[in-house]
Amino acid sequence: MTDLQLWLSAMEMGCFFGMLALAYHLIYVGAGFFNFAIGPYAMMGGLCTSWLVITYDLGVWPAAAIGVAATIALAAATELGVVRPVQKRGGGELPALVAVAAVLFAIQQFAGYLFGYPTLPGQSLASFAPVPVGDITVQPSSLLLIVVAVLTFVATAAWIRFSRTGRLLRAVGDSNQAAALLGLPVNRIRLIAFVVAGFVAALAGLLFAPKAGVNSLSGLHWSLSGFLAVVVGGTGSVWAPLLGGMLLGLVEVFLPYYFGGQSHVYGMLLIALLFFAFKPQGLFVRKVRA
Amino acid sequence: MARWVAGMATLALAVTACGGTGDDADSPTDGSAKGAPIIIGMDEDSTGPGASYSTIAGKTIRLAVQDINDKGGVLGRPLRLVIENDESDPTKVPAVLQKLHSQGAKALFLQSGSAAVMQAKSTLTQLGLPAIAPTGVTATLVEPPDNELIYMLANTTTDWAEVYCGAFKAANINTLGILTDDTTTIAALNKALLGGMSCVKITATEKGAANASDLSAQVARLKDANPDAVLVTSVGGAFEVLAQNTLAAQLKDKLRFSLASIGNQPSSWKLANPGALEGLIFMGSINQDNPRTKALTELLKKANGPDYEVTAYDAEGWDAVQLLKLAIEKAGGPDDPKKLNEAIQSISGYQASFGQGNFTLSFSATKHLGADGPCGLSLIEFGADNRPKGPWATFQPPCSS
Repeated sequence: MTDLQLWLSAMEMGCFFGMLALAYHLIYVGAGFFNFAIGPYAMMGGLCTSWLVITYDLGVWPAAAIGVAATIALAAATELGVVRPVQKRGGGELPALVAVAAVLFAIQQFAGYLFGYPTLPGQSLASFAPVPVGDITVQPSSLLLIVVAVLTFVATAAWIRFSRTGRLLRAVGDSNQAAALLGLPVNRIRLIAFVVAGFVAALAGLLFAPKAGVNSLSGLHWSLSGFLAVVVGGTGSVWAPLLGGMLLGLVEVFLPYYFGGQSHVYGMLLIALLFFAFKPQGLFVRKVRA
Repeated sequence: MARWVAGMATLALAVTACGGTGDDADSPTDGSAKGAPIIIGMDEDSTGPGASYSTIAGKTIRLAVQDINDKGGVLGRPLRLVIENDESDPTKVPAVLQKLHSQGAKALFLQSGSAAVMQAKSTLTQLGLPAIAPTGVTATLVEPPDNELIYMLANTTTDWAEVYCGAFKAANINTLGILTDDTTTIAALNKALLGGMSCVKITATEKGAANASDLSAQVARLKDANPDAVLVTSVGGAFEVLAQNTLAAQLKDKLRFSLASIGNQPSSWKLANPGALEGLIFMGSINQDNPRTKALTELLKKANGPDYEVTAYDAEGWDAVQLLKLAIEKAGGPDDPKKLNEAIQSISGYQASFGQGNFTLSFSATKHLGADGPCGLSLIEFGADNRPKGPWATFQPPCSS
C-alpha cells in the first residue's frame, strides 16, 4: 500500500462516490426516501456538457452551466412530476421508489436518444498543467475533482447547520407531518432538496467524466455506487457519505490490486450484504429529535 | 395548472436544448435507382460493447448503399437497408436475424461482436441467408461448422499473432503483460490470439470491466510483474483509452501494443490525456498508398467533413457493400440465396480499399476469409499528438505479393 498512484485513484473514486452519496443524502434528509435517479443526474451533467462542447464547439464553462442547469431541471421535475404526485396518492415509500427507478431508466433512454450511445470524452474545467507529486503526476481533472468534492461537503455542512433553509431541511426530514402541522413550507423544502441534490450530482458527473468518459448508460452503475456509499456511511452526518465513498474507493482500487481481476465487484457485494445484515443504518446513525 | 404546464414545457425545452435528434436522417434513399428494392439486413450493435466500432462501419455501409443507389442501384434496383441491434449479446442474435429475415432481407451484414457473430452462424444456416461480417477478425467465425453462408474480409487473429511475434522478435521482447476487458468478444479473441503467440512468455494477465472507471490496480499489478511490453486487448472505446491513460502514467517506459480498435476509433483519441497515446503501436490496415483507400478517404471527407479520419472499419464496411453488389450482379438477382452464395464464392482478386496497394480479397467454397495474404496489415505508431503518425519503424509484416 505504498504506491501513491493507487491512493490517488482511491481518493478520486472516493470523492466521486461521496458526492453521489451526498446527493442521495440530501434527498433522504429532505424528502425521506432514496432517489435512485442520482446516477442518471450525474450522467446528464457530464454528457450534456461534453455533447455541447463537441457538437456545437461551445466553451467548456457555458456548456457546463447548461449541463448543470438541465440536470437541476430534471431533478426538480422528478419531484414535481413524479415523486410528489405518487406520494400524494399514499401507499408508503414503495410506489415512490418504484417511480424513481423508472425515472432512472427513462433518463438513460432519453439521454441515449438526445446524445447518442457512444462514450463521449469528459470535459475538464481545469486548464493548468499536470502537477507532479513524488513520482506520480496528478491530472488537473483529478485535482479539481478532489478539491471541489471537499469544498462541496464543507459548503453543504455549513448550509445545513447555519442557514435557515438548512435547518428547515433537517426539520422536514425529521418529521414531514410534524413540519406540516407547524406550518413549515414542506413542499418548498423538498423541492430545494431535489434541486441541491441535482446540482451536486451534476457537478460530480461533470468532474468525474474526464477520467473515463461518459455515456448514456453510465447512470445505473453510478446510482448503485452512490447508494452503496450511503449504505456504508449512513445518514447520521453530512460527512457520512464522504466516509462511505472513501471506503468504497479504497475497496475499488486496493482489492483488485491484492486479489486481481474484478475482485472489487465481489468485495462491494460482500460489503453491501454485511451492512444490510448487521448495520443497515450505516456507520453514522441519524439521531431524530423526539 | 397553467404555471405547471408552462414549467414542464420550459423543462422539456431546456433538456432538449442539450441534445439533437436520432440518426434516422442517415438512412439511405433509393437515389436514382428504380424498381423493387433489394432488402439487405444489418445486425448493428449500436448501443452495446461493440458499438464503438460497429457504428463506424455501419455509417459507411449506409453511405456505400446511398452511393450505389445514386449511381442507379444494383441491376437497376435500389438497395434498401433494414437494421436491428443485438447489442453484441449472443442471446439476442437469433431473434434479431429472424426479424431481419421476416422483413425480407436477402443477405445480411453482421456488424456486431465476434461472440454474437459466432452465435449467428447456426441461425444463418437455418434461414439460408448469406452474410458478411465486415469487421470480423476471429478466424473461427468462418470455419466449420455452419460456415457455409458466412464471410469475412480482413486478416484474422492468426495473422495478427504472426505479425505480433515478428514485432516482438524485432524489438527483443521476451515477456508480455496483458491488460484485457471482460467482454465475451475479447474473451474469444484472446483465446485465438494469445494461443497463437508462443513466441513470447505472458507473465501477467489483468482484466477490468468494459465500463471500468479505474484501472490503476490492474496496471500496478502489471508493473509488479515487470514484463518487457504490454498488450491491451479490448473492444476499444472508453476502456482502451482508460487503459492507455493509466499505462502512460504508471508504466511510462514500457512498450505498448494494442489491437486494431484504438486506431480505428478516432473519437476515442479525444478521451486520452495529452500525449498518453504516444508510442502506442496498433494493428492497422489503412495505407494511403493504396489508391482505393485514397479515393474512399476523399469520398468520406466529402460526406463527413474535412476532419474525418478514415479507419479500417470504414474501408471494410465499404468493401462489404461492394462485394455484395458484385455478388448480386453475378447471381443475376438477390432472390435465390443458393445462387447468391455461390456468386460470393466466385469473387476473386477484388482490390480492397484497405491494406497495401496490392492487397486483394478472394473467396471460394472452402475460403470464406477474403484476405489474400498478410498485406492487409500494418503496425502503426501513435505520435505525441495522440494521432497515428505512421508505420512503426522497427517492424512491418512482410508483403511479398
